Amino acid sequence: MPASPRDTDGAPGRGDLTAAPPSAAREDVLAVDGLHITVSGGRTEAVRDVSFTVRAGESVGLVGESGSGKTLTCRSVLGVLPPGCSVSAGAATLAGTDLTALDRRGWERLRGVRLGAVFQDPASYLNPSLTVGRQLAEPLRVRKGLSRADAHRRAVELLGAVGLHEPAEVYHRYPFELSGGMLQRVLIATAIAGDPDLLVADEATTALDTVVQAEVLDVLARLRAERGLALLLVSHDLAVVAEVCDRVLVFYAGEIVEDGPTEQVLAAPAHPYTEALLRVASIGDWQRRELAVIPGRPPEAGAAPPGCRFAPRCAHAAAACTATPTLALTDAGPGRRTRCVRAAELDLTGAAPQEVTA
Amino acid sequence: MTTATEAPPAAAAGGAPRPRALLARAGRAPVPLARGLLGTATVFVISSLLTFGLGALSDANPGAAVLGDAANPAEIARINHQFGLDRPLPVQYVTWLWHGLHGDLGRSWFTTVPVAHSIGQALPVDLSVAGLALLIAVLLGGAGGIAAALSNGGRADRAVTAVCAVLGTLPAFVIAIALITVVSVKLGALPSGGYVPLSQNPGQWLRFALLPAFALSLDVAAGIARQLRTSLVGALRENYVTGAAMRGLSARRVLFGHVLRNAAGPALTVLGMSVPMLIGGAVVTERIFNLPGIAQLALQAAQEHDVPVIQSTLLVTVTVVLAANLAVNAALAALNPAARRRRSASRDGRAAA
Amino acid sequence: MRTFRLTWRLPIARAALTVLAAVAVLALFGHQLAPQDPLAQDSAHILRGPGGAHLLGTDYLGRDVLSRLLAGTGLTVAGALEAVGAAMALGIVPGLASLWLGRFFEWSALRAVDALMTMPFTLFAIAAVGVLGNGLHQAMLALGVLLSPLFFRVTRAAALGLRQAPYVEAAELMGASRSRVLRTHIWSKVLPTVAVTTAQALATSLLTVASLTFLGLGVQPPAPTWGGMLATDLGYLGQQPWAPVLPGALIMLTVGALHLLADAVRDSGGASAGFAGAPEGGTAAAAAATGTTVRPAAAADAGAADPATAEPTAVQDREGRTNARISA
Repeated sequence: MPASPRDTDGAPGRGDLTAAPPSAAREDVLAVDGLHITVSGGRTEAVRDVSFTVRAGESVGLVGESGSGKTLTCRSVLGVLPPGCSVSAGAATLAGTDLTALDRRGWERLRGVRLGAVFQDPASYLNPSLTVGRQLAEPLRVRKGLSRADAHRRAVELLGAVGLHEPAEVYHRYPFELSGGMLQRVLIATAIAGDPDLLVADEATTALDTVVQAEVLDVLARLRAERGLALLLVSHDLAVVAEVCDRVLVFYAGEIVEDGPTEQVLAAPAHPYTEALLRVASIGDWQRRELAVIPGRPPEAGAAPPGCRFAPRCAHAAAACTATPTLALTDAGPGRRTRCVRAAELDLTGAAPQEVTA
Repeated sequence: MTTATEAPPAAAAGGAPRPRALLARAGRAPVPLARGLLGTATVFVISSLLTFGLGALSDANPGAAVLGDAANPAEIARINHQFGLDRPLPVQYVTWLWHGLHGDLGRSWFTTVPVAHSIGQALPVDLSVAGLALLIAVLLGGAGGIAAALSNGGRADRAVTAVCAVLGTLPAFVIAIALITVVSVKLGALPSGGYVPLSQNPGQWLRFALLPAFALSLDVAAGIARQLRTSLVGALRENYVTGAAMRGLSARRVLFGHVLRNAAGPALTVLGMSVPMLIGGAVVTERIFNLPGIAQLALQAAQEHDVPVIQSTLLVTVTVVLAANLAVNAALAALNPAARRRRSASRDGRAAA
Repeated sequence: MRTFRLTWRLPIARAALTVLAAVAVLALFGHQLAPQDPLAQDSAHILRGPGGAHLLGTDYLGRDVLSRLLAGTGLTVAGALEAVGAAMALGIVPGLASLWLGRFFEWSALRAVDALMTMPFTLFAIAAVGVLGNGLHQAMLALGVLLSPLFFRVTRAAALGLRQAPYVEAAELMGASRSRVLRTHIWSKVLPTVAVTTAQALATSLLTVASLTFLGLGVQPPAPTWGGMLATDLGYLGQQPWAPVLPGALIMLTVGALHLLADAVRDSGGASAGFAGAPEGGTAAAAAATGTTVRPAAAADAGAADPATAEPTAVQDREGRTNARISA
């Protein structure tokens, strides 16, 4: 292989990536309202009452443990729920189109043009027996009606735009000939080829090593700035979310437990689970690193304990936490929501802001 | 499969701007192709040795066969000398093979007609009928396999699986007899036997070839459908299908442009393995439909102990089978050029590790 | 042995075995069971339908169809068994030898197997009959030669698996005696595979025997065989279109039972595809099990390796990310 096996295009000299675009009055690209998702043929409910919006150009992070429902939520937005899973209630609207009512044709019209997606394990999401360039050029020809030559030229441009060296050379490579980081860039290129409004990144950097991960995040942030792309980023890695997202949604046991601007959530979490996550992650805090784990386990999928689902593991749990059958997501300051009855009385510790953005 | 499928590193990594024709792509791999040819040549030589050895084991000889056992020993020896049977076996083998490669397969012991001539008349029958059978098998098997895979677990899937299971146990001659009974005897739609060469009258040829080709194709179609279903079901679960759908490609485009080409390999192999059955295993079908093909020739020769004809039918059949194998391997390579490069890459990786 | 016990629990396998047992009884005692002389001709009752003295009717010479079917089983089954026996003898020994007799033998054996696999069964058997004389033994031995690659491959794969399987080594390390390891391996892995292959080979050779006898090869005409009966029935399709159904159904039933049995054995045990597979699952499970405790070590590694190459802030950054993996 002439190209270096791993893409190391310089040190990640990122600027201030988390700086949110100032305007807050832009229209919603994606609005999810009261979404419920059932798994194993409708018997268990894995996602309960999830509501959030993503505005144009905004970047929203979904964070939580595996099984917390974040990936199911984003897969339902993409229309690729695994077999046996279905949306049982609620709605998701992509710029006026109701996603829950779409048929196969409707999805085909939407995907690629208004909706793009990047996944974990990029190698498996590309056809192993076709060159990456061909896979990138195919939707350009089919969906955008470009000629062969134009599609080829555009594909090479896109490969360059996602920071691949020698894009014309990469065009002729098969997926197995590229490293994970390069493949993720290719996948990003295919996802943005149709200039979508929303890019969904499902654990897009999880399998990559940290240097490459930083570079891919860089690309995402740059594309967002250049194209006004809205980004829905799913990760179990709070640090990734902290770096790229304007707003963060914390998932626990199928519910959103906290929602707010990234900096505020990290600095002063409004839910004990977020606090616990921050302690485990100890973002950026080199000195305070400790062998912290959150005691206990999340409830079994489908189990719906009364009240706060985190209560059994919570250091601040009180009788009030489990007194009501369900807890609502309540406002906790401007632009912030939490699913904790004691939010007002607790003083939870977050990560120091200057360290987070370091 | 006979030929070597493992390949050395492909020569150039860059490649042409956009791979277009299958042939062009196959042509880009001269080294594995040469290797395949070498393997095929080896197999051909061994097969020819087997074929010749079978003849050499025989105690039949043309002198006795033609003149009868009571004939004058000197006369028998003279005729045997004419056929070169008094020379040492290795010499006979080399001469036989050398002449065979030049299209001279010797003469029949009985009619002294050149064997190449008889085979030249019989082979087109087999090739055209087998070709038609392959076409029917690919159409039926492909449609069945795709339908089954798409409805995975559904009604179409169960129907195809059941039909394939039944067809798998039905011997070709049972199918042939059933077809004759229904189509020829009851309906009188098609002739129950006979043949008109394709070059003479294509329409008449089709009338005569359709039933035997259909009888031969069902078994192959079942094999293809089963194999295609299995590999398609696996391939449809792959992430790259989701990936392609996420790029906004239509379900049909994903199926035919991405999934099918990745899943077609095993079915193609099944197709290749069925060629010996279609060419030489069709003896009974040929007999039932009274087709003047290779197998009928061999059968007649076997009853007369006409060794040169028997040997030649075997040799020619093996040649056709080997050619089909080569074609299948070339098609496999053209279908998935990545596999070749991947294999070489992984081997390099292992060597480095 | 476990595989066979599991197989026996499948209703379909029991049904298949019952059919095969019935065929075996017919093959052994068909002549005695036949109600009439299968060769006796009766010109007064030719091409009769079922009923009366002839339960399944008579053929064009007035011979009792049922008796001919019963008596014909023996020859057909014996031929198929002979071919499979020859195939086993010719396949298993070279299959084992190919692993231990050096590379030249291995290469030649593999090429010879390739060559045999290009030969069509029926045509080769016909050639053998034509060259060596018209007898069932000649044809069946020739068929055995062509079927031997099946057994060659199975034996070779099993032996290769034995030589390479990590669990053999592991068992030896844990103190199991070599013979015990071999015994377990042969019982659990090799025998089911051989059983599957044998069933398939039997089905194939049964069909070939039927084809040959249909063509009138291998047996002299008056002797009854399934294939021969099909051939004679074919001449009288106009009068008795249903006649080929009987021998045809017998052939199908037997072949179908063999196929079902092979599938059942394969499904209920790790026959064939069974020698590889564990390592990935194993490591994944191990990783999942250790989950949380692995993390700090990895973080420490990253911290130790990185500072030399990058500036401190970058290290801290990566460090944070490595450390922030929450789920296992």
